[in-house]
Amino acid sequence: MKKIRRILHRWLIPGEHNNFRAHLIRHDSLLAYTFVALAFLLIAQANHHTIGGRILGIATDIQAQQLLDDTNNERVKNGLEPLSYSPKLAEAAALKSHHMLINNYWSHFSPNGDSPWGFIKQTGYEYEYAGENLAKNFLYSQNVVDAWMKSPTHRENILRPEFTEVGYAIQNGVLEGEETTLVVQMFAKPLRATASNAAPNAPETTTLGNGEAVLAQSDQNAATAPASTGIMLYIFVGILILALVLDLYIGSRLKIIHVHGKTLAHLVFIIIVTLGALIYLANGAII
Amino acid sequence: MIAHIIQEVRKHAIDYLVLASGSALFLLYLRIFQGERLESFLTLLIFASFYTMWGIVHHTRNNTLHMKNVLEYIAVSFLMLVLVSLFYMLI
Repeated sequence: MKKIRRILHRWLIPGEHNNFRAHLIRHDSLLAYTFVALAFLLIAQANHHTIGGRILGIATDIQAQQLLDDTNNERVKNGLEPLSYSPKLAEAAALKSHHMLINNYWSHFSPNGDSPWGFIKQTGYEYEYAGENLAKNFLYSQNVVDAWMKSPTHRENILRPEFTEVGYAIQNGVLEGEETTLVVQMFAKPLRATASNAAPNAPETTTLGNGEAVLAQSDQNAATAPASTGIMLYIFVGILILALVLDLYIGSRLKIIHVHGKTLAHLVFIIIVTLGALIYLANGAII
Repeated sequence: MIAHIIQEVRKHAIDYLVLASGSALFLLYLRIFQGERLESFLTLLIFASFYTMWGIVHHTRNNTLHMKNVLEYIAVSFLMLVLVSLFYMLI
């Protein structure tokens, strides 16, 4: 116990025993972390997942079931009927996401003028009303729905009372030279109640005509949840911030002025980068 | 600790103003490039480089520039760049 306390003191608390600088934030330790993190990054790059010959290194945790639940929660909150899951709309969404990746565009209409409704018709689904929401590069399902709800036009689609069914496609691929996770949400109301095969709360993997699978549920090979890596990184950055705060606190109490505010500057930099990453990098783009 | 921070910021007001402006621009550009991985990575790379340069200039102005300090700024900048890239697989 004494030994653990001594180690903790040496690594976390500045004092005489460590020349008033915690080992955790000494320049040699910081360099060591950088090299270890770089090694992890290189290993992660080397272990990119391969699907259909394309190298993919994206780690997302977006699931169709979660998107459906979150969308329906928003509808119920606004006094609307929840949407039923439609495998045909999911197939249309998969056709759309595949078309965007193959033709390298990010838009509701393709450069050739193909409309979203064409993909719905291709599946044999006859609709009275239809709508489409798109998103890319999000990490979590909840963030996708939150971003859509903040945008008036996407919110209007989610809360449109005429829509009764929805389908999703979540697909990783390379878009405009960049590894991307696309999310396509297709809404519709069938022309006749019997025209669709709505299956409430049952998203599944959709297979396109050429046999390529499009993720509509979590696929561990292609969309590994970043949770474990993320938690480890959060803990590491948290410990680093704690060590810097302790250094600043104890340094100011003992009136040890570290070389002109290095600790304060590091603290500002680390907090700003962490905030930026959490607020903006966890969220993607919507159209 | 707060008094110490205020004293430090007052003493080097221009330096910290530059750091705060750089940080604000970093957050602004991240917001502008939200959803674009390459642009986000470049924004982060530029901010990390800016931070190292800021550290060198700051210590030069105060006559406290040592190789150890330069290495420390490079390590902190590069560490955050690699950690964020690792988490979001920006590159």
